[in-house]
Amino acid sequence: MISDLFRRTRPRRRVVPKLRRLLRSRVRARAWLALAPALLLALPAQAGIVFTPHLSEYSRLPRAPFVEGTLIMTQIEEIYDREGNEVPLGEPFVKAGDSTDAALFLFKYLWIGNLFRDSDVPILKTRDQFCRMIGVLGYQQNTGRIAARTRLFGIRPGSNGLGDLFGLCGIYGHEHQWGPLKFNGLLATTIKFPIGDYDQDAALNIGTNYWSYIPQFAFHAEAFGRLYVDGTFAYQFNGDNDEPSFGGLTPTRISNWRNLEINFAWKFSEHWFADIGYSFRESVGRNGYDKLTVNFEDQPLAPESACNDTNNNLGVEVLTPELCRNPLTQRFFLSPIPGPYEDRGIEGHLLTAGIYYVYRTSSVLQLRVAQPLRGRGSQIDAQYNVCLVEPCNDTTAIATTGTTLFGVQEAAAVSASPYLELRFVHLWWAP
Amino acid sequence: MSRGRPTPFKGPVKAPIKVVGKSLWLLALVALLGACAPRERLLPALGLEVPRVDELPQDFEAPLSAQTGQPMDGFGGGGGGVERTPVIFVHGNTVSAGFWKPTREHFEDAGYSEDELWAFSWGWNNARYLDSADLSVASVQRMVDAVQGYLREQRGVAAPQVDIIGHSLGVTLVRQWMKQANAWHRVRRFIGVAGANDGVWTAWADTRGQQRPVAWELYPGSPWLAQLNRGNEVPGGTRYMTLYDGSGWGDVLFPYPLEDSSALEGADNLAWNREHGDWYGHLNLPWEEGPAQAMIAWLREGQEAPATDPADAPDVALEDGAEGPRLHADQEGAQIYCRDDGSDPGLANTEPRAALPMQPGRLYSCFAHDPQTGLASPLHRHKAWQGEPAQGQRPTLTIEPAGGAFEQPQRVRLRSDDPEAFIVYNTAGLPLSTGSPLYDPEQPIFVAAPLRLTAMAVSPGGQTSEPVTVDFDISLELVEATRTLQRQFDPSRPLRYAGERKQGN
Repeated sequence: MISDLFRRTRPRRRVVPKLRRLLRSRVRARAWLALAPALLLALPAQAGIVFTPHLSEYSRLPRAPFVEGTLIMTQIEEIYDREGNEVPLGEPFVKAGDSTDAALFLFKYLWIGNLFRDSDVPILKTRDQFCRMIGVLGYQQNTGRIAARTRLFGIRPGSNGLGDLFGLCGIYGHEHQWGPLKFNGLLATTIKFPIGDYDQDAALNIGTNYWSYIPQFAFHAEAFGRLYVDGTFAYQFNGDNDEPSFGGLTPTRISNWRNLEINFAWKFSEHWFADIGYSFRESVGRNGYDKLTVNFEDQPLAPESACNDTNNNLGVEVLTPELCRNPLTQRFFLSPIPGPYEDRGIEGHLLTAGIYYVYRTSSVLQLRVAQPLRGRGSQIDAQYNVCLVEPCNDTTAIATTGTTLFGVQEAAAVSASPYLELRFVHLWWAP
Repeated sequence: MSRGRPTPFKGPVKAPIKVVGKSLWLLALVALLGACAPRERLLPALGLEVPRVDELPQDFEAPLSAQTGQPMDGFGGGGGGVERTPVIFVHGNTVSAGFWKPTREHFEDAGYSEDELWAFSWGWNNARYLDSADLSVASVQRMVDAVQGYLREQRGVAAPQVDIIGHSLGVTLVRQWMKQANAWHRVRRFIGVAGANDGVWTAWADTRGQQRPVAWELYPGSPWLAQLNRGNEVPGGTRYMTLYDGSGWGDVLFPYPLEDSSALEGADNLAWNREHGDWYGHLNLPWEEGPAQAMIAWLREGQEAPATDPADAPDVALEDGAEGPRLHADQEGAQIYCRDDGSDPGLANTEPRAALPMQPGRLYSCFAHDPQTGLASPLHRHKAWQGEPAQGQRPTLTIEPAGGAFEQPQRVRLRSDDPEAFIVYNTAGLPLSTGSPLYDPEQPIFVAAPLRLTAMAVSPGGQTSEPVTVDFDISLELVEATRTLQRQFDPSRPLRYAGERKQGN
């Protein structure tokens, strides 16, 4: 019996290793700190949303300034785990049904022109240039029990405000015709400036807190003036984030991504279009987590809570019942081992479908739905020290225990829930 | 809570990325500034010279653009002599003479010299400021005058006629110039590439803002186009060709049912995509080998304009014989092309005659044409009198409304005190002749741009009224002035509208 074991304990120095061994043997595999389960993610893949092509996104549009407002709304109830399974948000620690609600408003300004026209500057004089700035405003909140659960860890459940700023410039290639088909390519580079609101103690963040640099090749093709195809391949270099949020559950070393997207649109008339698109995003390599600190805010933890499977919302069995009755475990502390950890990378496949109404030549109204097809989210196998005294660290730990944690926010979480996009484009100085 | 700060890139790969990133950020900023200010203002502010198509001879006095008030840049006169009828390319909306460089290459490959190929940047060359045909008629007049004058004075070559190739807005612009200036006799052959002769779907009647003039001109069914097309789409001593896509899907400006908007009744119309299956789009069409060769071949079909003084061209003569007045050409071998139904005669659709007896009370519109030289006269109108011609009484003319500033296009009515008089006018501020556009009392003049309307009445027998000139300012600035916040709160506040129009630097 465990209780016997503890009765026979000797001075602590001798008991602790034994207890530690026991704990390790019985508890390690438990999802002890499934305390940060799949409930913490920002609206995933802002960058992906930003670049998912629309009708004639990469065509040689008229030289003009364009403005665009895009409202994206989603209710994330499911995300992907590292095996590609769809996991209800918050389960098994809270009942399914709550969600992360998010709305993004993207303001885009696009300028197309040719500063070098009529000059002798090679290449540029005959190829139009374009630049685009994208500003983001966001609203993101965890709801109900998910929000309550984040508070166990001293984390704010939501975040609103200004997002990162995207700036890109590029150059169009010449337009080529081949029978009823015409096409053009373009090269562009986007920089994501991490100016958005970012709070290390927030479960959701509008800003990402890391730079991105995204060279991109894209093309536009039209057949018979009816079928429009826009496609792009982009490689996203991501900078590091030395100040991860939510206790280090956002990766510190963010892997680079590759994006492949294609969109097919059909023109029913000059005013009505419909499209269907596919978007693929995959990390190249693994995300690294080096500053894991996520932990229960209120410690020490009581043994009865640890021994109870309900665990006072902890959700998992921490200690065996025998240990629970041991007087030496009247209280204990947890401390995460900060890392390094690595996930398996992330992956997302998205199907989009929408309709467009073109008012004259100046305005476009679009409604689009995006449905994730499959994906893979970030998860790491984190280690925690279990201590009976403070400070809880490697020296004072009586045991370590492992748990699988979901990575959160844009760089790590992959939503399995659809989103809705409402977009308005206006071409200034057009009839 | 702690407020995170952006973390710069780290590592051997990411450090250069940061540098590149900052550079691109600066580039993006510059580009955005470019979008906020016209290039013509932005670049000088940055200490840079605005690129121009600076390929005109040093001794060529560049004509002024009627829209911008600036000397027009362009190309032409680079040497090689003049053996063919000189070609003037007239570009479309928001571009410059540089638009024609790919086409010029095809012409040069076909043997044209640089002295024979001309183009001028007549508009704003900026997508922010749409150009207008009505505002630029004088520009075309000036560029034709400048080319003919330069060849005559600097090269010693008489070029009584030119060929003109217009693209897009340049098509309706040139047609409007030929009509308003009674200048058909100065153009041997005219090619209209992808012009909006029957309208373009991107123009709308109720458009507001800077683009209003061009929108009012070119929306399908616009009174402006009806005015331009009325009385013969291919008038005068000019031969016409149109070149356009024709598929209804290949040129984004002319979807079905406007696929034949560019065609002109009586012209040699070539719907390139429909007939050849090649799709070149609105801008590319005149740049490509096939269409360019088609244009060159068509220009070479007819005889070249002779190197003679324009005064050597035939003219219409009125002879008052014993059997009544009659019209005929004043040169042997020349013929006259006349109509007496209020429309304008044209080479392609009017029967030539040696002479034409005039019927009392009928109005004749005629020009003379020499089939040997291809030279033609301006259009003339004559009305035969009934009974004895009135002596010593000049008709008078009134215009209603008599000019002024307006927010919306105006329908202008002209009246003469002589019921037998016909009335001619133009909207380009050019000198009037009897061959100027004929006023139809059933169709008031549609004035949709800031322009100068000049009109005169001509009585049977040739008595003319004093030309009456009024200025109309169909004004965006007036609209803006009347909508100021101050006037919204206090309608009695004086309207401060100076009538100053946008001008170039």
